[in-house]
Amino acid sequence: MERLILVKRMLIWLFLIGMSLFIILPLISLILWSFTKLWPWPELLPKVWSLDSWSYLFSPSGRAFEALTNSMVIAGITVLLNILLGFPAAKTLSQRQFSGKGMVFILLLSPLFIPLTVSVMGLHHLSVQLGFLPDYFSTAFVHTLVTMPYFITMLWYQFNLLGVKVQEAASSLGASGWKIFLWIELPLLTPALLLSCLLVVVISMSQYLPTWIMSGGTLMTMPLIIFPFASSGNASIVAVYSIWFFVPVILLVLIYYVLLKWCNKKVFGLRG
Amino acid sequence: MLVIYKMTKSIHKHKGLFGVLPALLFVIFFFIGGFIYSFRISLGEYEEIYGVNEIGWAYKELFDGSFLASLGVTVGIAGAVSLLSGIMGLLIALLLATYTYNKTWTHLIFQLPFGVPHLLAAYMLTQVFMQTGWYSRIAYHLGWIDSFEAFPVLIHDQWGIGVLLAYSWKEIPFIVLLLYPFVTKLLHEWRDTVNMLGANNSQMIRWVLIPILLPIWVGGMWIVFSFVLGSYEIPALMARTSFGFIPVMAWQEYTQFGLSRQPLAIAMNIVLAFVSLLIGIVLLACQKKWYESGRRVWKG
Amino acid sequence: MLKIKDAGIRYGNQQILDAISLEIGEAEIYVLMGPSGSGKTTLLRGIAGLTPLSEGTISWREDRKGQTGLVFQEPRLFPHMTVLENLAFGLRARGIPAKKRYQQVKQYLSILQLEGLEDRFPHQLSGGQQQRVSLGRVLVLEPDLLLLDEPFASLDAPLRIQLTEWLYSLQRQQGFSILWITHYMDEAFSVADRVGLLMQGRIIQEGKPLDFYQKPISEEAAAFFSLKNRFSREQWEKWVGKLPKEQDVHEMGWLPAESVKLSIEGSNIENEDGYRLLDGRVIRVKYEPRMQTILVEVQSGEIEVQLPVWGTAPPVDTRVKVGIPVGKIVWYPKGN
Repeated sequence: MERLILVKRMLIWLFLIGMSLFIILPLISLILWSFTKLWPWPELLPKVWSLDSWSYLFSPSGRAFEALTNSMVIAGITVLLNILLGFPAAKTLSQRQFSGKGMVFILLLSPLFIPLTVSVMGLHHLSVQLGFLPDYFSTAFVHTLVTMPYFITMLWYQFNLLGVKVQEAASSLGASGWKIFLWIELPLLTPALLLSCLLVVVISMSQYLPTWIMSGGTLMTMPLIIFPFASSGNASIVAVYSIWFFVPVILLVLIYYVLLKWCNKKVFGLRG
Repeated sequence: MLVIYKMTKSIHKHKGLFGVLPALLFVIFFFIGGFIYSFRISLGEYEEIYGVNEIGWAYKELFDGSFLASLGVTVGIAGAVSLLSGIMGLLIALLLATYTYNKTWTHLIFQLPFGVPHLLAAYMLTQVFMQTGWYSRIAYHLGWIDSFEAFPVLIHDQWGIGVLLAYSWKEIPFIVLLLYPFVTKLLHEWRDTVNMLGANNSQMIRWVLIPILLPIWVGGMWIVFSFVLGSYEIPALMARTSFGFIPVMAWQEYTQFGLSRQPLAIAMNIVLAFVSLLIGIVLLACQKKWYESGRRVWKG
Repeated sequence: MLKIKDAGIRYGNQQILDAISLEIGEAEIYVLMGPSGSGKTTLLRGIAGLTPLSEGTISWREDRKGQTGLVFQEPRLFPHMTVLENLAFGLRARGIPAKKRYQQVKQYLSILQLEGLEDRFPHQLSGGQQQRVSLGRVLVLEPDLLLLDEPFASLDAPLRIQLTEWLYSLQRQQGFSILWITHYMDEAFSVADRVGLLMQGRIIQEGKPLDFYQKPISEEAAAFFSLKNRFSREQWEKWVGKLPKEQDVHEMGWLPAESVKLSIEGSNIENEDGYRLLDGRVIRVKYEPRMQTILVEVQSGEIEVQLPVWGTAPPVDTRVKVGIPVGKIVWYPKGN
């Protein structure tokens, strides 16, 4: 009986480690590729290391910073749109009762269930006809469509957890609507809000097809630059651009954790 | 006068609801609007752009040819991915919650794929799984194979295994992260009660946790299904063009063969959307039936 | 039947329970009382096996399985199962096939007064019904010892009384033992064979319910039970003079409020034997569900007098005389 439990435990750990390797090893392979141009079969580790791809990345034709800036600008606009549109929606959905709520939910979450390409193709024609929006904004609009269901759902869930009781208590003490929002709801929601924004940024930066369609292939965001290299098979270049892509993501995650810690300290008085 | 009074009263009564209006209008205008616009294009309207044809010509042409086979392939892969990531994701979430509750390194590992775009996932998995890839070399060094041809064909194969792997790489963590907070919450809530009544872990998982998790789990799988159905990047990079994955085909039609073919591309995607909605309706009907005897698991 | 010896439970370096020794006999109702945070729930969890003991032992009589069932304050019913399925859960965990276990469970439906509700879901039941299901699913397992953690605390007063009575008669019929935690003294004393007082992780007194009134073990215990008119011996002697030699020598004494006589000043009051009179002034009249309590300020203290509901309480500020029956003062040690 004891032996059976031990065997079971070992199997479980093997399985989890296996899955972890499944996830991590491809990333390691990528990192290795970024530092070599020649890595033929069957070498386990590259014999010839080189930084050529990195120098290409940062050269003028590499357009490293242009791509990064474009991605971040669009992500920034997307986050803004999400907050402006999604935050009040989540709050209303959580705190108010009204008939037709189910319908509203279905509509707001519809981008999750309907393959996006359907709508984006039509949108492209629409925007061509309208023509007044610069590429950045039309792309950000589509990114917002993609990300808003996640944003609204996460905030709606947080609002539910928050409930309305604390706000009612504040109101009975004489605080007005705006004050309740600023002093009570916002601080308590900040951790979840930060996480949702991080998610939106990451998703926006990862978009390929929507960006391509809305800009006609002209707006060079990170995915747009990487994709041609990926289909061509130049492993080293792809690796370099990918890592260049990850650097801001990792930075953002770190910033998120720092902000979270600061927020926990200030708002909740937690230590570490 | 009375009408205006009644209107202002109604607006005041519902003024809290305005919060949802901007988002709603945005989605309706752009997304639903885009959808409707696409739909009309696919039916053959806007002839000044796309050429004159009979109504619904795109659909007729689709259902004549090999489109149905491609539909089967696409839906099949989407279904396989959602089932695989659903089951594996649930399993991993359960294992993590039971055994690694306080060890955060496992949680970090499963959060990594979130920051990686799908096309990169496709690329990386190709790199490691292809016949000249890293795993093949490891197999060689372990003495399992003599040459790279001996390594199984996983990428660009006829079953789409590479595609499956690449999607799983991203979607299994998605399901894990979706379910994990609920699993931990439920474990915490029910562990004492279940133990006290004499049930073991396996019984707790089967009889209490999974039934309560069911709505979220199935919902998550449906999201994955719809996503894979309409996703372009991974199959474009990993599957053979003869594979017949619809978003790839649609994109080809859309970009390469001129404006007159675009309604066809759109029609393909509309069919996909229709399939996704159909499955959704079926799932909703099942859920309704499950709940009709009065069961209610989550508040509100 | 159940013997706990020197049990202790520790969380980190906090000693929640310290050297607990108690025994519960066959078919006995043992009520455990104590202030919040004293460790009552932890003790229950330790006996149920949910929390391991850091030290000490729990042993059962040899022919007993040591089967316990724990009922929490919230019903904790499985929301996705019907009443019948909830009740049968424990049997299902034991591997008893469906037909047999539903048969077994159905026999309990009438005892639990849940007939007609078998196919309902928990959210369709009232609070009292839910608690009965919660009790029922433990009772069908035929435990030797029922562990109750304030089971009726979230219900309204009449329902609480009703369910207490019901559970008491059920216990008398079926003969299982109960370890019952409650805050409510009327509930505790109406059912208890024995009562234990748990404070800061230790059982400071244990005995029959009346023992706590007749022989409180310390000021702490007396204060917990809100015994009336607790004063030190010196104070009593100041009021009533030298105490007769037969009285026990303890530092504290309390006097039941019903035994104190009250008379309006100026009226003729027989100076009965054993009563010492004190001058005082009414400062507060409290009306309670079954009595009236009058607070009288006397020299350096306040005496509580209890009148039945049909008595007439003098208005505040009336000058009165209180009659202290010296022989009825219950003396007890101060403790630490």
